[in-house]
Amino acid sequence: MGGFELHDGDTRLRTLDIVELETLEREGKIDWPSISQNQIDDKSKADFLTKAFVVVQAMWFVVGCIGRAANEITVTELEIVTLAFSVLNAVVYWLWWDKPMDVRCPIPVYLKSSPKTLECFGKDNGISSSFPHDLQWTQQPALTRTSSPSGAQTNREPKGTPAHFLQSTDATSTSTDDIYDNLWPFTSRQIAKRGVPGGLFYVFIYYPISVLLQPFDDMFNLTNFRGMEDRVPTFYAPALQSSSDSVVLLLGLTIIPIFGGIHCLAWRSHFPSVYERWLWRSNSLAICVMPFSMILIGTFIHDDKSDRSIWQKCVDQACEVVLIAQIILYIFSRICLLVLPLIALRNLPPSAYIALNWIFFIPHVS
Amino acid sequence: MDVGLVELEAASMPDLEAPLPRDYGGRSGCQTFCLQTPYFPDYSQPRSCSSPAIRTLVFKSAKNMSILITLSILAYQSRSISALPVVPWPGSTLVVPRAVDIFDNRTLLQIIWNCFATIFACTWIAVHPNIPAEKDTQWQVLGRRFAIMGYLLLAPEMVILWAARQHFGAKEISQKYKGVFIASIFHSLTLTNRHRARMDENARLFPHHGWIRAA
Repeated sequence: MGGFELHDGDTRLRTLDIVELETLEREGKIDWPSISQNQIDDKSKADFLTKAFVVVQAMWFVVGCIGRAANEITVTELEIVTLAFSVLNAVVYWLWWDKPMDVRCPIPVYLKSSPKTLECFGKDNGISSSFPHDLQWTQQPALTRTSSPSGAQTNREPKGTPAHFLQSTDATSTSTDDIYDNLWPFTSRQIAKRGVPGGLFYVFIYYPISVLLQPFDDMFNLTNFRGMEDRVPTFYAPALQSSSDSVVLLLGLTIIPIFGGIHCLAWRSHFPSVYERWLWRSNSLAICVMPFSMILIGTFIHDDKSDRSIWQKCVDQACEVVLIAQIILYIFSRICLLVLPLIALRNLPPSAYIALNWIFFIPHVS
Repeated sequence: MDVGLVELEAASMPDLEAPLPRDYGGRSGCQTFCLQTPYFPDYSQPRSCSSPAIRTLVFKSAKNMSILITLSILAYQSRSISALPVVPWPGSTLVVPRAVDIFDNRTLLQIIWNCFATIFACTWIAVHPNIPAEKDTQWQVLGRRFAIMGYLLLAPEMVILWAARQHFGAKEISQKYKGVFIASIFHSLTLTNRHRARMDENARLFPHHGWIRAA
């Protein structure tokens, strides 16, 4: 995402989203960027081999686990966790299959209306003004190198010079870093605003938690650039029509029980201690159930913040508190499910050390 | 010789009272040639049928080729041959042929390596981050990727939701503009034909301009 960038000659202005791209095209300020699928694929840094490696490795692992289970040899908890990741990875891979990997340079979209270039080329070369784009495509950088960029009038009003533009983006994108560089000024400002206990609570408890949890909210419903201009936010995705939105929700609702269910496969397996077994059982049940209750509670919170009655405000606040508590619990469950298999390695049942000899399954003479 | 054999056998034999992890149907993989059964691995002993030993045999000298051939014939017929068990001692280069069995041994390191390699492939390589800003350093890009990997480990469902939103969003956009894109190609093609003569002149004036747009 964030593949198209608005340029005015040499100057990069900002990253475009589909809405602005449409607006600019409708106003006739840009030509619709024509790019073929091959050109997009060409941007990807992952070749066929890399993709094949992941697919083969994950599939091989799943097959191996099925083989072990079919022959009734122990499948360790670490393998169960890896199995869950492999299955989910298949979905992630399918979803991101066409997205080029590790793109570093967006595709430039050039503003058409620079009076100078039109003047220059429209008259001298006899090209009609309805056909300026092909010339601007290559010729404009050479022209604007000497003159300051101008004539960029769009709905978001780019700031005149490149220097100004960079300054403004610096201020927005590195605000999080600033806070930790200047912890004391930030704290004192918050204390002045909220009082001593409130300010301290905000700085040391509320703010770190919100920074940690923000991406979860973003992954769920971030559809704008959040003030960024030179790139899209990390967890950005374009806004969806309601039909696709329900498909996404349906996909999530099927993935959640599959992921938790795979963890539940180790329900009766060997653990070094009883506590670990029950921790595993409760946590794998929790990750099955908790996302559903989170979604359920999320539906009670009103999207429209402007006109709410006091009662609705109270309900929203309560729901938010429960939601945040659940997310934190969920993260703890996940950490538990990642750590338990590792500490269970200290005491594995003997049959965990038996491997299937895959040569046996290849037809051979013996 | 016999006494020594019996002792060694007794040492490597498992406790018969202990329940077997599985009924192996009376098949013993090693049959007569190998004392080590694969089901109860004895990790203090080096594996008898190791590939370095074969390699030594192959590369040491051509003289040994006859041994190798003999051994491979032996290995081929290992099911039907019955002979006194050959005891491999530590450091021996003797190759003991062994029947291929459905079960094999693995070490803890192999388990960990296998799992970690798969998790790495699933979480690091499968991540497709958004395009960074031009001023972003390599470290920032890397850090963002690590963050996504961390969130993929912590809450894979959420990352899948994000990926799904991107997938279906991109699908909507591409379906909406597929026709427009094709139309724009044809548009520029017709324009190009109309202006071909003039464009030729331009192409001479600005060599790098070319027909790239139309193609």
